[in-house]
Amino acid sequence: MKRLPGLMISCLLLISLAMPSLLLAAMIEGRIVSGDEPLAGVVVTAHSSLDFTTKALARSVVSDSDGLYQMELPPGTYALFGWNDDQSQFAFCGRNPVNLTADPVWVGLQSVPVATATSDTYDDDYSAAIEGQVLHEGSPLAGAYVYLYLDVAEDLKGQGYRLSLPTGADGYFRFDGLPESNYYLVVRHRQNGQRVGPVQEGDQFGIFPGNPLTARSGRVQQVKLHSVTKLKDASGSETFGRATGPVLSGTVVNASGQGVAGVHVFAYVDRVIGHQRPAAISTPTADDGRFVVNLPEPGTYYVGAREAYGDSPAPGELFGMYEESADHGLTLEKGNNLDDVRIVVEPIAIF
Amino acid sequence: MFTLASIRLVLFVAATCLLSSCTLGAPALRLKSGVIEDKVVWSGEVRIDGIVTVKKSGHLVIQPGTKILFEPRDEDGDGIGDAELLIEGSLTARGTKEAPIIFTSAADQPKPSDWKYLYLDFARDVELDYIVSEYAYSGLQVHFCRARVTNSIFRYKVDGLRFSTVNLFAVGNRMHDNQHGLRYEERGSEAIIHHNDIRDNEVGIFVVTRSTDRAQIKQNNITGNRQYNVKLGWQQPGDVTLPNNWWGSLTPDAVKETFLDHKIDVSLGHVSAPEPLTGPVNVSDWQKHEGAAP
Repeated sequence: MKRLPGLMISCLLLISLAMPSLLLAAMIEGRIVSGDEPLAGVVVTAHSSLDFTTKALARSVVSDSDGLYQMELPPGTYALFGWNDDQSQFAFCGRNPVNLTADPVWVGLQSVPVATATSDTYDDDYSAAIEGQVLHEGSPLAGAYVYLYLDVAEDLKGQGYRLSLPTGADGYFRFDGLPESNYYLVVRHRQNGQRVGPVQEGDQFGIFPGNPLTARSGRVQQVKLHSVTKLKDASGSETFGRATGPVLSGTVVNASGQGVAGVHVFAYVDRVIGHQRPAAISTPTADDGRFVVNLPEPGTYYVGAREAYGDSPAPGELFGMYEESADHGLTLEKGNNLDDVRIVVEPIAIF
Repeated sequence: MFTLASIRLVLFVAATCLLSSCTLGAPALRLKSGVIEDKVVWSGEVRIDGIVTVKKSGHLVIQPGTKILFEPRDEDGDGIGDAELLIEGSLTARGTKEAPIIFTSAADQPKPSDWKYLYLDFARDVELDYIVSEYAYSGLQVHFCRARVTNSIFRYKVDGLRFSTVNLFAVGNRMHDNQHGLRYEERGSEAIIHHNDIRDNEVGIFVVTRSTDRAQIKQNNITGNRQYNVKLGWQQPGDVTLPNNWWGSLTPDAVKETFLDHKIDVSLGHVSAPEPLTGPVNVSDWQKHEGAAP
């Protein structure tokens, strides 16, 4: 009896030493799919940025026959990618980067085939070119835009360094006169035909498995970009940079107080909106006008809502600003979400 | 960010002082920042040292002869004074020829960009007649609203009169000695601009982008602008037509030389000036012009 307390103390000590990591670790589970089929044999890696050539912070066990994988990570923000054994399939998460709390989270990845870039002579010795074809489920994808980014600082969001013309029926795109550099390639195809704005459920998007692609003067790099279809987005908004700040939610209504569907709520860091990109923007409001905006960080934001995305508002477009402060701004402290914001929109009437 | 509650109080006090000043001849009304949500009348002298906003429910009426002075404070260091008057509601500023309403710098030695602008943004109802706006960054910016601007002077600024996405009637005005006399992005605007004197600016008319040749700019004097009478921005590939204006010359080639357009940069549209006038219009006589009033 006299030894038991000592044994118990030892056990408790061991448990307590193990507790911090157990308490802080978040369990990620998910499925990797290729089209609609589960993909076995993929190792998922977690990175601090969307540059998957950086050292992995964690690795999952190999996905099983149901495409399922698991991994544990401390709470934080991670970009998740996956490769199969022979590097013929590349998987990515459409929500990258993913915010992890201590709660278990489900994160799905979609895979595309990997094709190595080739290169040919370019008729300008002093600049480089990139050309290629966008494919979706093996067929050319028309109306897609290819984006070139010079780095991953903004998580491969926004218009980037260069934006292609929309692809034709053959899925072809081309960039000429590029400075010799490394480029990150992303393809997006929105059902609404717009070249900017959040990628929504049902849109196509893809990340080039060979990122970053090195473009050299006098050479044209030739690539194939495979896209996947965006699945339902749990986050409900697009945030430029990391969505690690407070969450702003509420309702967009018309002058009669009825919820308005299909408008975006935006948050700018500059009082004079429209002179730069918003810090965050919601997906279109639901039928009841509800919206969610995930802000990049605590701070003051100038908030409003509009029907379209990108460019200047047009006559007739639904538009409105947050009116509870004189300058349309609101300030959110760390961990201080705001869930009852109300914005009234009405058509821009100039005639 | 400033809250409505705190500002309403400031405005209440300010408006009370204003009423007193009107009736008792008290010193000028001084405003830091504030919000106008009801009808407010300004007269005499008003000094603004911040941002005064007329909200959607507000209506600012400015009496003839009122002088609005903007303090040349530049706390954000962008080279442009921070003071501004922002109109999201209604503004009625009807001066007279003898007693215009003056928006100017409060500096002892004023210069362009001492204050930011008089800014009409999604405004409800705006009428400006016989105002003088000077030493701002933009004398008047009009966006996403209807506005009527007549008999006014815009001078000593970066932009004299600037607009985008508007229904604008701008007639009988003088825009001179600015970087740009008139600057616009059409973006679906309906703009009727005639009998204006657009002279002695660096650039008379700057068509920045998104113009589809809908703006009706005719019967104006567009003369003596130092760099160009008309300049297209580098994202303006569409043509711009400016008929029936006086260009200060009867020689078509000499007039064309004052345009920055396709002939200098092939990515730009062409500026054309059909049926040029043979002499200047009398700006003050605009009401005699057929169809002058909207």
